[in-house]
Amino acid sequence: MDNKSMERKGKLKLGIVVVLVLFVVAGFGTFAYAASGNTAQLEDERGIFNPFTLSVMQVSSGSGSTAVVESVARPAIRIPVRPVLRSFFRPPLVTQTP
Amino acid sequence: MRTSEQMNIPLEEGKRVRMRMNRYNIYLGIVFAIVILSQSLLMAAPIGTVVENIAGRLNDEQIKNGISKGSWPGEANLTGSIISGIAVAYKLKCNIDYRRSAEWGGEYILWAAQGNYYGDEIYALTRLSQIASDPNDNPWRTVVTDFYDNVRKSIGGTENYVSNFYDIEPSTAVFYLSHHVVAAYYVDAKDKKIWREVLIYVLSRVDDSSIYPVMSLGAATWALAQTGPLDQTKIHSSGEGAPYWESRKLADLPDLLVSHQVQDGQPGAGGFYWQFWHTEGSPNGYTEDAIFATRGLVAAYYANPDPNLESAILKAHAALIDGVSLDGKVWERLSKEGSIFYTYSGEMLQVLGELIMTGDLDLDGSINSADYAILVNSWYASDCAHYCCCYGADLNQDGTVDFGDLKIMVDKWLEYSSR
Repeated sequence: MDNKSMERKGKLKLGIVVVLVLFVVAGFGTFAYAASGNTAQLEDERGIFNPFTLSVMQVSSGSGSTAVVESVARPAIRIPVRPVLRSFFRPPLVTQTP
Repeated sequence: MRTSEQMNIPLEEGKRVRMRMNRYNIYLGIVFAIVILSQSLLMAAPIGTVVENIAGRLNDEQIKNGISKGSWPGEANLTGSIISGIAVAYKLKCNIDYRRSAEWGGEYILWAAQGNYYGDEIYALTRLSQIASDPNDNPWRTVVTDFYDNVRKSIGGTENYVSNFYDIEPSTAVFYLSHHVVAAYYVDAKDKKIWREVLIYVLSRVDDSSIYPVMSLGAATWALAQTGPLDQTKIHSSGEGAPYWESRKLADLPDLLVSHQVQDGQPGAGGFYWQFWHTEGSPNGYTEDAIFATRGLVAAYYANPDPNLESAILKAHAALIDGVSLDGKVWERLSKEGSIFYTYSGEMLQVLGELIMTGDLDLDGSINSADYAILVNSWYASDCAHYCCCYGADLNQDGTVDFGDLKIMVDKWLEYSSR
């Protein structure tokens, strides 16, 4: 094996290692995200954990070859939120004319 | 030259013992200082200090010039709840700056509301009336009296005006109606009973789909307990209410509140859950929920002293005090997390004022010789119509500090000591 092919093989190995490292980092990141309570956005329509479908594609208009497909945010599972401040309300006060 | 070993002359036994004792004394002193220091750091600040911290910050940050003078930055529509709290701080600490701050806020409300007030605004005017030099005859009281008269004389009368509350989110409606009810009873408005009946009706529509279930339950209990009996009146009488209220009566309200308190040993103990249905991990610890639930419990306790309520109030008291930071900020959560709003501070001052024990004149959270000394210093003082004139020593509010007040103080002192 000549030096050139050795060099090429080395680069290939390095590439594989880089891809594997990226996979591991992405995996850890996904788990950290899920562990922090954000699993709602990582689940598909059936509620199954799927880190690779962070958004869904939806046909917004047309069909077949004319279909316009766009990425839409996945509807989050409803997590109740308490508003920080009340809304303001006073009824109208309609005084009688004398 | 002699070495140190050569100089090693045996010390006399007495001198050695004295030196050892001195060393022990120093060690004991250090240990004592550490214990005292750690206790002072761990102990919750007394209510008086917390009130000063909160009111001082509100006073500093109030808008003092221009068109918004008297309100607080970004919270003009919440001025009512804030100045009710400042008025309480004035009543407790007799600091004239707090009184001026509350009056500026009142003037802002008069200008902004133009004769038609939010519930917490009209209630705030009753608090200003309470700290006026003559609580029975002052411009604030006149404004409140005129408002309920104008509502009664408006097209459709009080019934038409209050019916507008049926169309909004029920827990928000309960919040405003509760304040209206207390204000209407304060001036003995002719239609005060209509306001109270409507409050009960709207409360029956609150459930977990509402925005503030437990907070509105607390606010309603607070208003209903001080304006009439918590009796066998059905809450769900019209049949249009939420299933939660079926077969429930006014007398059940205090126990319902207790059932929504976070129990000992759980995170956020002493605070309250946000919603009616809850398990251990359900959302809890919101400051406003704790404030209004505690106000409801206190009002119910005054109407009917019940040891279960007292125990719940003491737990809530500790949680509330812990929820205030040293610079007087009050957060969305008692854990000092979330948003910070001035209105939370005003509401906190209001509940702290209601948590003061009768007889605790120096506001240190206990009844002892220091309070007795304040009473003695005001002995036979007359003209106590105004709270600050006699440092709160006119406990029976008959205008004079005399044996009637001494009896109350002694009773409360004994009660506190035996607790």
